[in-house]
Amino acid sequence: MTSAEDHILVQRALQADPESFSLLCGRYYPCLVAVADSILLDHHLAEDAAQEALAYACRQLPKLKEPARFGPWAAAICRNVARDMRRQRRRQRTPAADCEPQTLDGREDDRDEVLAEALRHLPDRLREVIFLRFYNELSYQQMAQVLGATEQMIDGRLRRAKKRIAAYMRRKGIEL
Amino acid sequence: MPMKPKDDIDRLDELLARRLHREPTAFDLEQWSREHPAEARLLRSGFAEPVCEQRISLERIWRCIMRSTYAKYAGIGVVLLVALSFLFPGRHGLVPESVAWADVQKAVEDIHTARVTGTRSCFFSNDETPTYKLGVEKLFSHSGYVDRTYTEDGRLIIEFTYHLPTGTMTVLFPAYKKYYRTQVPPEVGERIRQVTPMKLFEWLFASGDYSKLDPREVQGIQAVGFEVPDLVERLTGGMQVSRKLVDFFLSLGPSRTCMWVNPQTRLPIQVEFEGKVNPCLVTGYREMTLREIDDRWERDVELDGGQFLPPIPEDYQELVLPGAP
Repeated sequence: MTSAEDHILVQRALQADPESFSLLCGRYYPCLVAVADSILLDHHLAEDAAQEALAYACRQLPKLKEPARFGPWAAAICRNVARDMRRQRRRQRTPAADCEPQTLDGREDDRDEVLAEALRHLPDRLREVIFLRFYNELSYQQMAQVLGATEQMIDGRLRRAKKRIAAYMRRKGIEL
Repeated sequence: MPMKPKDDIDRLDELLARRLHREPTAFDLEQWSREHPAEARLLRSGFAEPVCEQRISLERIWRCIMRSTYAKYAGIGVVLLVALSFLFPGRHGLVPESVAWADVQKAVEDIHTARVTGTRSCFFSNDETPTYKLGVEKLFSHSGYVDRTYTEDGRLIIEFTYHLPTGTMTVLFPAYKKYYRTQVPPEVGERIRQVTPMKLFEWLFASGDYSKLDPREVQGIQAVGFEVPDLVERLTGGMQVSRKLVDFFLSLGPSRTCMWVNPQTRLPIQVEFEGKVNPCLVTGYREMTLREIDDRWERDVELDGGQFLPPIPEDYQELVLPGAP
């Protein structure tokens, strides 16, 4: 995917060409699901968030100032939608549900659970790059296209995220 | 023995991949449209709200165009043929004043090479001042065609070349150090090779709605003028180039092309094109008026044949658009 293509597709979508919008969505939908999942930690909710984000993006498409940056723009919308959903879910949850103890069965499960905890403890921005990288095996270039960041910045964030995860797991007594 | 950090990272990568990896979920427009009917209607209607206007530089637009494989067809279908048609206006028993088409035709056929320069103005509003004013240079020979577009201060923006013997189209973007090169499909190349003055005449004038213009002083000469409307439609029809493909790039609305001929030499001295361009890729999806005047004609000039199939500079990168329609 390239920004030039996005530019063309956005302009065509604005000219009553739904198929172009579909192509745009097809490009970014998996990434948006990953972005939303990194916030919601629930795949099904993440799909809902991504779909809602694309609906919002559709409504706002004529206001998009830089069509070539559709990806970062849609990702920002998706982040906001997912955060709203997370807030809503927290309000609906009973306090007991949040405090439910984790069950740890066996060494492999321990490691997996602690990894999940480590991911939950990461700041949103770092968790997002981890999800994007490992969800659909995106390349740095593809991630840069979605996040509107340079590959160096992506690399830096990924390193920091992994360092934190590794440190968290060691603190919990889990060897990598 | 303590584990090396690199091994740690590798193992962590494996763990993360195992935990997080999912097959990409496909986007289903039909389902999405059912769940978001209002948005689907917006898309189908082309949005009720006015589309945001943006100033998009021609260079950027052209960069987009030439990254698409559509250029293989449309670039040839429009740019080259319009350019060729300026040289070969056709012929028939039309006798305006004392100049016959046949005379013009014969005079043009005797030309082996030509260098034509002029200006290309793009208007994005009703202003008298063009939004972009560009310089153009065209070279013609039996080996091919070159079209160079310059900024007003003489900086080369785009060089388009077509090499007739091999059907090779090359576009160079010096500002970006990029190039695009392709060979037209054999059937299109063959059709282009067969573009004879007579064929062009059939396409342009067979319907008979050409017109002669009142004599006008052009470059100090009382010139004879011929005018033909909807030039591109006739050419694309004649060449059997898909109009849909052409419109994707350059959707020309009503247009008129005038050729002014020196009655003494029977040779064209000025070609004027003016037309509306509907929202399309070239215009950044805005309406535009295109006005081109080719007013300096040098005939039988010495041209370096290598220009029609230029070598790609080593530091240029190829423009690629993977997955383009």
